[in-house]
Amino acid sequence: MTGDQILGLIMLVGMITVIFVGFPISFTLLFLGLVFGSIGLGADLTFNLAYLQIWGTMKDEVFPAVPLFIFMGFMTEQAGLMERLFAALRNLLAPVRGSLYLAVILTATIFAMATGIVGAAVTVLGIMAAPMMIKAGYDARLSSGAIAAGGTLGILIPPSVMLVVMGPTMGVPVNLLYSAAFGPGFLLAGMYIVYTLGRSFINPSLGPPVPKEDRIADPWIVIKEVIVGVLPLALLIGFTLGTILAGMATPTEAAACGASGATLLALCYRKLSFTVLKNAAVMTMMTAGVVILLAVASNVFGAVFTKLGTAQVITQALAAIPLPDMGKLIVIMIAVFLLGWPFEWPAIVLVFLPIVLPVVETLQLGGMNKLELLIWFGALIAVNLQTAFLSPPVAMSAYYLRNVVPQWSLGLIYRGMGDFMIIQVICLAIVILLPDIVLWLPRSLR
Amino acid sequence: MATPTPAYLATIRGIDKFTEYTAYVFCLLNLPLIGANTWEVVSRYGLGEPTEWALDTTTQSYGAMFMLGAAYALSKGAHVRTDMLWENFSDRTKGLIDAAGYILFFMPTMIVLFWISIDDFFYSMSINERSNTTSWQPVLWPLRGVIPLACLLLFIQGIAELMKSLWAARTGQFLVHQEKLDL
Repeated sequence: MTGDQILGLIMLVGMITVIFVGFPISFTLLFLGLVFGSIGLGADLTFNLAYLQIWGTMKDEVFPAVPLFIFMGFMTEQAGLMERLFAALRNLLAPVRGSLYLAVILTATIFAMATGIVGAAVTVLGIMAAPMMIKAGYDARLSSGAIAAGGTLGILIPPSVMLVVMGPTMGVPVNLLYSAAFGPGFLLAGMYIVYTLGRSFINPSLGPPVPKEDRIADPWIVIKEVIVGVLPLALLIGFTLGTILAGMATPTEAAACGASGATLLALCYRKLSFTVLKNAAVMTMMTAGVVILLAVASNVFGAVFTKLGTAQVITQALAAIPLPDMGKLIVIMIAVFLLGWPFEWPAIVLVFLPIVLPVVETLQLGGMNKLELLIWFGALIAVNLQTAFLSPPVAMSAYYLRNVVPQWSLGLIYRGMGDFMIIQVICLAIVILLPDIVLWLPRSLR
Repeated sequence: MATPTPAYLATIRGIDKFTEYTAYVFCLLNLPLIGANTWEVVSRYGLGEPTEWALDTTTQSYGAMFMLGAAYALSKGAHVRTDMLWENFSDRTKGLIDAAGYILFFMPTMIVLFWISIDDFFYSMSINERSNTTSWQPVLWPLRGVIPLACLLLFIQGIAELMKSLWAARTGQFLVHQEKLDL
């Protein structure tokens, strides 16, 4: 190894050590990139490199979809659409055993198609569904797990912001990543449903049907609820995702139409006010600031790291591991799974993913071409990172849920989430073994 | 419990307010971002003629918005941290780590980035640099100017954050409560 490569290795180890302490990751990466670059490459080259990375990210044509999908999600939530969706599904499904589980997971799945981040999904579901589940005598462990796991589907099912960020990072079109994530997203939601309903059927005390006196007797009221509360949202989702998948609009354009449409829906439901608009705009700007500044910082860090030549050394070292290609993939998946415990998805996707990406590109698996391999890998990462939301000690879902449902202890929520993490790992294994779950939609669209 | 001097508190509050008001201005960038793309789709499919200006409007308003929103995110404690150890630290330890981070990492970085980006801004202005993505060719210097401006705003907010963390390091209590961001 050359001196520069050793320097890069020190930079990598230093970075991991320093970000563990807890200072915001973006600023740490920027600082380390500038300092190590100046030592190894000289200040002029480093500063040029940093400037080009910042400027390049600011002129990116894919990233604008990030704030737009955040805006759309925030607006749909403010329009009270999640509440309407849940109420409609609850009344529709009332006679079924475990109906509240089903209503929670279906609400979460549909809402996940209207929002790009996990955001308030867990909180809103916790506020709406948890009191009903407690009142109906539902099992607390299964309930908390269903809400926490269902609420995190937003980051996997398109229009996931994580996939938008992953696209430029991996050099893959976002619309392909979206079409790839549908299969695993619905599979996972389906597995949650099978699990909760299966357990309710075996042991009805875990999730009894809604008592007769709490049901709405008149079917017309239920149907009207579905039409008023669900149909407009379904149209909005169909339009936004449909235009992306059909290649009629770029993700950015579709996201903007989604944001406009969601604002229009909020207006129609009489939920639009100056405060709502202001909060949506400020929240959008803030979240975009956080996620994309981290992208800027990791691009600066990554550019220096690559220029020092260390990225190449690591790729060669990883490629030389005496394992079959499938073994290497599984090692990477285990590493990502473990990284999900301390880190949140932006750090994993932006900082760690680029390090293993060159190895992934060399894998020969199942007769896939390179593009298919990459979008399959992207979908695997997305499923894998679902677990990051449920793995303590930084299980964001647990904190959101604990805040709104004080009756459930943190320990109980963790146990409930642990059950669903096992389902996620099984889902990941299925998607590894059956790549067609990911690839059927991208293939049939081409 | 110790209380900070009125001037100390006023400085922190003043900077927080300043950042908040600038954020209210910059969040208006959502309008061109959403509007331009919505109109582009309507115009392309409804009227049969794509616009020339939507693409540049998008990248410029997006690029400016996230850079200028970073300072507001800082004031809300929203930038992503590794929480594994952080959550278990006392407020005093958190204050110490943050104070060290702001002095050693954050401020030098912002000064350097400001310094390397301000030249390009002046140069871009002097040659009246224009975008060449479409035939619309809008001027680029405002976007070039966003980088030093963002660094400046981050630096100013960083002073308030440094003061907050120094106080926490000294007294073991945070003056301002900050919430974790939903991602």
